[in-house]
Amino acid sequence: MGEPTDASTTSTSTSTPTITITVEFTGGLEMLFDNIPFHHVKLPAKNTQGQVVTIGDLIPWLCENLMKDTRKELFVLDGNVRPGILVLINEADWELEGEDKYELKDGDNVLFVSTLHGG
Amino acid sequence: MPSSSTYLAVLCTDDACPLNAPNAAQCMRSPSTMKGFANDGTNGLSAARRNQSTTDGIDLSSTRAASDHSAIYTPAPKSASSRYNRQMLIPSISISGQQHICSAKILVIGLGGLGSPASLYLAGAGVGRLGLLDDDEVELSNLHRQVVHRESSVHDGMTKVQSAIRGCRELNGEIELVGHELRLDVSTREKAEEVISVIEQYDIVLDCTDNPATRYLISDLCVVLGKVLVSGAAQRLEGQITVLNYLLPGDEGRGPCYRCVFPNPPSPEMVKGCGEIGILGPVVGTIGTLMASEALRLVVKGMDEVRKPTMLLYNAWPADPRGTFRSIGLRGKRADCVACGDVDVLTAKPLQKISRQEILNGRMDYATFCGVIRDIKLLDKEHRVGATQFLRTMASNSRTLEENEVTSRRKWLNAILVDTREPHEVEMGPKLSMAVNIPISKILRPDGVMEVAKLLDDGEHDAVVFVCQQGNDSQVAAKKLLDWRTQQESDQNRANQNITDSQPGNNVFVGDIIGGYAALDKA
Repeated sequence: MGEPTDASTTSTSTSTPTITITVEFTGGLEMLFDNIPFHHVKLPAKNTQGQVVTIGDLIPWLCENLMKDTRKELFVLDGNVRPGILVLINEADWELEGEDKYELKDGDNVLFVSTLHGG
Repeated sequence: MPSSSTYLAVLCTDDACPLNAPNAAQCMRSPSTMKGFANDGTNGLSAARRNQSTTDGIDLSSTRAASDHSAIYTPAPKSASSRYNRQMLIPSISISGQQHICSAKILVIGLGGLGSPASLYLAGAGVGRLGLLDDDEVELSNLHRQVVHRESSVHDGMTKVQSAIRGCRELNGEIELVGHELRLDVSTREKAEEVISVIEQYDIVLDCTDNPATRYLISDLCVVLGKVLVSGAAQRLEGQITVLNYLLPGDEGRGPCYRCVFPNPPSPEMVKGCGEIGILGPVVGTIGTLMASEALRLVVKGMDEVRKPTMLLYNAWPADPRGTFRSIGLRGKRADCVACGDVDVLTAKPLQKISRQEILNGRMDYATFCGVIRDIKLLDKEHRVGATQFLRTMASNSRTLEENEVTSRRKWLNAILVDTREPHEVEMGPKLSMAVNIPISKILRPDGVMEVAKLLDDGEHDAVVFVCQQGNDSQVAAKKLLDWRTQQESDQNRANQNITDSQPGNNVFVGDIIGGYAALDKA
């Protein structure tokens, strides 16, 4: 892993190191993602600035690549995950893990939980 | 001296119970164990709890009067053979735990799908004072999940409080059931005082309500009044439960609260009730049952039991069966939480901490905080068709119509009517015979509008009229089609092609039916 891409050469998709994580949606959020609650996601290990990819990078990536619904505002609001959605990294609140700065590792599980209100 | 089998019969009258087997000698361990509890029913609990345990709710006296051999033999306490025997057999409950349950004061707010099983199980367990709060009446559509209520509750026009009291009373006539027919409203001092005076009477609150505004209010009240909050919620096939505002170790006070976990409310558009999106009875029943179980745990093990902030997620029909239940770790108390946070941290921000006084003064406006859904207005008047007007024009004979209506009729008869409801909603709802169903979820996908646009390809239609349940999605869909058309036109202009009419649908009327099927139903 970690094959560095030379800035002077044009990197191709085959030479870019990637990581595979699982992304899950519950509480109705899966409806924005083609009604599929569980996704294996392969994404570049580094972001466009060449840093290790974080949850902060993952969220817009999901909007662009995984979301089938055009109502992005149901998932992201003002650049942040919409209020009422818990973000869990390996089943722990992302606020325990550094929030959007958490650096994703191969095999991580990211779970988005929409709060329920019914009773 | 009574034979051991007589003794055991007092403990257990169930014939199937191995304790009642004729060769009861093998069960001799049990009487001696019970005897130990009779002498020291509190079994090592703190002095404070021990003091209260003999006074409240449960009788510790022995089943038989002292006899000759009383010096060497003490029969089992009466309470051990009470209706609560089966839960008292659990070692971590036993007599002392039951005493705590019998003296517990628990308030169930909301007597719906969560509150029904929660109140039934708490009544069955023998909770000393069970408060039941709601402001609603029982309806037929409640019964598939709100199991404390009965058909007769609907026929008799009972309130949920009356009906739940009856249900719990039939289950357990020995406990105190207190009904509170009350709306949780703190908009005036008088109302706030009443709400606070109710909650103050209890130790534990179960939030079994169905909307964010009430959930924030209940959490704030539990924080300012120092009550533990068991919070549950369910929708469709999923549920969530968490315990909040419990005692933290040391001098950290209580926390986290609902605001620590959800500092900002969800947008009102995202909040859908069970009446809109549905709920499976056993799903909400499972969460309500778990809430009762958590409340009993708090009562028996103590409010100060050290616990980590967690939320249990339940999915009744998960793709992977291992995902039916999962427990997630929540963040702890937020130092800058306006309800339960640190005063110094808040003052530095500067933020004001929510206080009992502030709630009493009617300062807290939960409805505004959580927002209300306003009817959306995306389309101009000329793109909108009244429901009554539409039905009248379409169903009448041309001869009876005004001239402008005849024009409309001609246009609409040749229109494409697009029903944007989801297929299951169409199946369950009223229908217009000429409508084609293209669900909003499809239209909102990238290029989803093409599904509609291609219906115009034959050039034979003068209008596209969208219709949905309430008249909101229909506007969204119509706007999408109009925007797409504008985009097509400007692309064409840029390409310097023929600017008129080469694109199908440029002159086609695009609009929607105001108020959707809800309005058509009333028209």
